[in-house]
Amino acid sequence: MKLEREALAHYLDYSFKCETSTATWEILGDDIEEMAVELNPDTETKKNILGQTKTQDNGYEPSMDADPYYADPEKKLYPKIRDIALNRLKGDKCKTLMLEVIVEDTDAEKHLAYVQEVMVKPQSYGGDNAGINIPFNVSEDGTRTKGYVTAESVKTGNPVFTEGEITE
Amino acid sequence: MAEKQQRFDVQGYDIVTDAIQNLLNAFPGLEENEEILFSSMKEESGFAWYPISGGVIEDEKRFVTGKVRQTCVYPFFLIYRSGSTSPKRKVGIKELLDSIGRWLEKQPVKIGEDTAVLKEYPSLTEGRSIKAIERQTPAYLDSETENKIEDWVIYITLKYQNEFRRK
Repeated sequence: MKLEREALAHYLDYSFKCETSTATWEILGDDIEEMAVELNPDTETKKNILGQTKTQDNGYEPSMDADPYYADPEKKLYPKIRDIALNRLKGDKCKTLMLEVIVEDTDAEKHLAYVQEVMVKPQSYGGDNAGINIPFNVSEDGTRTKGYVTAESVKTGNPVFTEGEITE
Repeated sequence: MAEKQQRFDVQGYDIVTDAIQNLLNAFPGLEENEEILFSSMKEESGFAWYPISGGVIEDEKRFVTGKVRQTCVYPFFLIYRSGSTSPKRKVGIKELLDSIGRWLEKQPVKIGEDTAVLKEYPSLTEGRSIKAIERQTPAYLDSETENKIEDWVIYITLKYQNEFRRK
């Protein structure tokens, strides 16, 4: 049976310390109806002298847009997003970790997860009268680590990530 | 084209009904011992409000986290029944209903020498919250019997949100 969209969850570490062991996660998407990691594959096709078409695969440039993101002082991530936008911060001050969790079996005790070093860049702020919208882009910026989170920690809203393969 | 079937927030009916009942009777311009009743009116006099349908789900959004947000509208009539034929009394009834309507919209309302403003809507339970209350009509004379019993009415809608996680 196909997975529901909420089986894939994205979290950002709102401490912005880039340290997996002390990361504090907040889920993204409470006001977002559609959000995807655009893989942006970079490929080139060439034809050789034999008439064969060859594809050169240069990998991916993944990024994700969180839009809308409404300013909400009760959200832990909000102060960081606000500061990056209003203080025009750049470089290391925009770097944090993103946690991706995919729940393929709701009865399982552990779920596949990845921690990715990312850069967070607000795109604008303001918008219409629905709220103060600060949409931001999340782009990959370094190491990707495969691991898992426990189902129990996911339920608390602050998943605990462990590097490595899921073993029964 | 087939008509879109209306959906209702059945579970929210009691929650929102209680909130409206308490809010209407919190209007500072009511006389002492005057009470706005729920769906109850005597033959020749009364002050009551009547829901039209309960909470109609106007819009539903589902977010990537699994959260669902429904925007619901709860329309109701507020009715003042009186047998008085005095023009001054009729004006007073219309002004009272219009004042209640303005007050529910969080507009300032003159009550005697004072000005009253509803600062915030009451909080609801179970993931529901009131977003706006709006008059759909000014107060108007809806009906008059042979015995000159008049029903003055104002039509109001309450808009609220219901948020939950679909299992």
